[in-house]
Amino acid sequence: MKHYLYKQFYRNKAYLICLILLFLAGLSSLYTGKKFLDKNEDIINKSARYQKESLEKNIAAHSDNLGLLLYYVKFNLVNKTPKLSALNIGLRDLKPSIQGVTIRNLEEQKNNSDFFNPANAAVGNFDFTFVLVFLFPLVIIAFCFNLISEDQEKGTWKLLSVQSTNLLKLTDMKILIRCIVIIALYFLLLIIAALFVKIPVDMPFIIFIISGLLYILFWFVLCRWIISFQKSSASNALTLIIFWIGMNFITPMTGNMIIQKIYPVNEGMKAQIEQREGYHNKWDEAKAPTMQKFYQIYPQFSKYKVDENISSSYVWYYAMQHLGDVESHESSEQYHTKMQSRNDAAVYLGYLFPTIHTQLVHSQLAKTGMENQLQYAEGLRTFHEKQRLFFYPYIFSQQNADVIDWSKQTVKSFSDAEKVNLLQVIIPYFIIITLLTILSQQKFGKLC
Amino acid sequence: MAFSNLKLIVRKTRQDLFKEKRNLLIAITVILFCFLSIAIGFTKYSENFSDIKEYRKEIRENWEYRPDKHPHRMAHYGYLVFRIGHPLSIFDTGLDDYLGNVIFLEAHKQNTANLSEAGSSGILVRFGTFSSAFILQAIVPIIIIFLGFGLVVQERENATLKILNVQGASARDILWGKILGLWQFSLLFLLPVVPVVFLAASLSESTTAADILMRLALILPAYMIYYFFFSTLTVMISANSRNTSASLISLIGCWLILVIFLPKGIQFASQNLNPTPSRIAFETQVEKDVLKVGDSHNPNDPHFKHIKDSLLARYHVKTTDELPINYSGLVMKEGEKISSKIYESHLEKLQIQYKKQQRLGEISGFINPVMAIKNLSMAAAGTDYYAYQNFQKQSEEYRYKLAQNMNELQIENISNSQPPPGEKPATVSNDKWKQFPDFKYEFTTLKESIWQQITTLSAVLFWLLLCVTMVELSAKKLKLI
Repeated sequence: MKHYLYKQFYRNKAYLICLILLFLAGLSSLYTGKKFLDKNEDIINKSARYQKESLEKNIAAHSDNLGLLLYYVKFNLVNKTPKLSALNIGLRDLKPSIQGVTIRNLEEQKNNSDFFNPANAAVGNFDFTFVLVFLFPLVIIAFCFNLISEDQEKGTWKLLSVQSTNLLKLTDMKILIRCIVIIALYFLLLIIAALFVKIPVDMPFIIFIISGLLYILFWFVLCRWIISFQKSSASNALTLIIFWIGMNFITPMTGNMIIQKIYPVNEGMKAQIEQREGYHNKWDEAKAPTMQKFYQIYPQFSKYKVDENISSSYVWYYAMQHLGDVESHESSEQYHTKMQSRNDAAVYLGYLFPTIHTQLVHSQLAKTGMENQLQYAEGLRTFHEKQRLFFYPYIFSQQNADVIDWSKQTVKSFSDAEKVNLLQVIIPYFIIITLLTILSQQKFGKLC
Repeated sequence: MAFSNLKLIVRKTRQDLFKEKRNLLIAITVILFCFLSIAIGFTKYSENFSDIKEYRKEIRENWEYRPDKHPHRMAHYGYLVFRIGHPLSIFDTGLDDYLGNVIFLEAHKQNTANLSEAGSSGILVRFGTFSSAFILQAIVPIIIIFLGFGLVVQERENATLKILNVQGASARDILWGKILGLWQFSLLFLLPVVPVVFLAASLSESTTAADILMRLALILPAYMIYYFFFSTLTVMISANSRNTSASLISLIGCWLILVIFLPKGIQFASQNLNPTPSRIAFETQVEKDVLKVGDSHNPNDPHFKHIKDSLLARYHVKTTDELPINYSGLVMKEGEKISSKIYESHLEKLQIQYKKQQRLGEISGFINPVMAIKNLSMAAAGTDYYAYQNFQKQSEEYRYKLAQNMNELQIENISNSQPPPGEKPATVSNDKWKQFPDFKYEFTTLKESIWQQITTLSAVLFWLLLCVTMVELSAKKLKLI
């Protein structure tokens, strides 16, 4: 019997075509990911040279004026891109994986976006997660939608029910064969990915695989439930496609729109205004209050006094710059909180919809999601502060550029240490799979 | 009586579709979703618009009430310009989510537009943006398919097709009748949406009603042609299929290819065919080229030394301090000119790459009508790439004008000698700030947008012609049994 079912499966040319198409889509998604990773690595590798060149050039021009030199020099911080990000590009195409900042105020620089063609960004990336979330279900639907109805429409169902003692077992066997084939294809693609992109088999990758696996299982269980109603093939196809559209388009899109509406992020713009006013107003104010505020934040610099009548001083200049950041801090924080809230809302939505959940989990594992962006923004702030505090004493005591060991000022990198909770990943899948299994079991129990 | 036969079939098809309660339910749901997206879009747009209006006012007031100061400080104080989408973004968000909303304009430096909606949202945004345009472009076609996949093949299965033919309806009448009937029903999804969009967009008060009306006058027929294409596709495949489920499966396949695969595939190809540099590489290159031409900060730079010598000769003085005009202002003016030119030439190179990517998308409208309608709809709604480019261009022009205006003020009004320590530095009266006009962002006119998208427009018309020809040609080959 099993042997016959296998034969029935692989003799179906349409199935084979579906599998080949899916395989090709998977391969091109891996190619996209590899391309992205290569470009990213290239940018980062070159940036070391860029920074060195820029340093040399500026040191040559302003070696006697450290304050001016540091006005120009940018220090780069890399947001480490794990290999896994080739499988889920996430937000990394919109947000640069390396950012250069001068020691002037941060607020003005930190939102600088990378160049990208908005038309391409709007279409979205053809990465592996896209193939998994959008295309795998389609093939699963194509494999399963007529498992019972086809026999019923051809009139062989009656025949089967006479010959076989357990029709449910037979149907499950058919589903199992299809499931094994799809999972085999999934693993084949992952093995190719691991070899081609050289993804290390570590914890994030394993969780990534498990999450994808559960997602595939979810669709099989969903199909099993739909066909248990024993409607016609056309009706099954219609229902399943509606599920697919609903979960991949309507829900996430509506969700996104409502989330954007509930959490407007105009604080980002407000921070820009406040930062600019905060800094520039100081030029027209007396120097003493500005310095007072600065000394309060950094008492260690209170020995560098600024004379009220002096026309310019780097101590005063960098104090003004920093106060721009200080005065926009609140709005900037609010902006970050809003982004966090937007992401949290999406995570909650994901608990109900495996499509969203898979996307989110994968981007979290690949460090390409919003969590990573927020962490990196925080890392950039720390890095900026460290650079400032390192250079301030030299600038303030009017040192020459040659007292600093510039060879240490290389490109630094940030890696976010956030771990993903395995339980949080699998429980939503587990609940929905169990639920659907129970529902279809009930249906089959009545009808078979 | 061929004409009345056609009319009869059209009416019958349409009425059958209307009679089915399920179909009406689907239509109402879809329309409600459209209304929902318009309502959310409208409130979001008006809140955003009023916020931005306030920010713009604040920026202007801050600018005007800056105290007297050195013009170069003003040039660095700069200007923040905010982008607001066209009100029709309520209907078609297009690229809106991915566009930066604020640019900081200052001397010597071209900043990018930052803080896009997508950049401030999580991964969810990558699923796409929900808008009426998305529903009308992607969801309605699949509904047309579900409504019409059986139109011909089912009649053949029931053997009523032959009967129809015997009663005098030619194959051409049958095909046209089914197509037009289905098409007329599909307009049910489109027609109620248009007036609501008009109303919502007019209420936003950011452009004239005439502008909106004209744009909608382009959008409406374009979508009508689009649905005509899908009605034709559905009926033709239905006519050429063995049975209903084969018809349905091939139609779903077509939908997937047209709506999901091709747009992604084309984007994938265009990105790989026309690669673009990263920001860091771009900026390094610009910096290098600027240094090659002349470094305005280096007093011994040959380019600037030449200017200095010719100035000294012209005014018959020995040092720059004796010049009747402000020398460093002049140097900066020249520096601004050089760096802007270099930046622009690099930017142009980058934009040529983007344009090539864009062109491929437009040309693909001839392969895929979904791309054609997408591009046309975006262009008509003022949310396409060209509209954005226009914003960037306008703000760069304004930035250049601002920097140069401040340099001129410095050249005319600031003395060359440094004030003695303890004295207030030289300044310019703040009346001058008020005289510098505010930034006024003008939406790209419809005419301009269409001109840019002429390929797309012809692609839409091409599909109309192709559909008509295909039906006429295959009418002869229709299998009746």
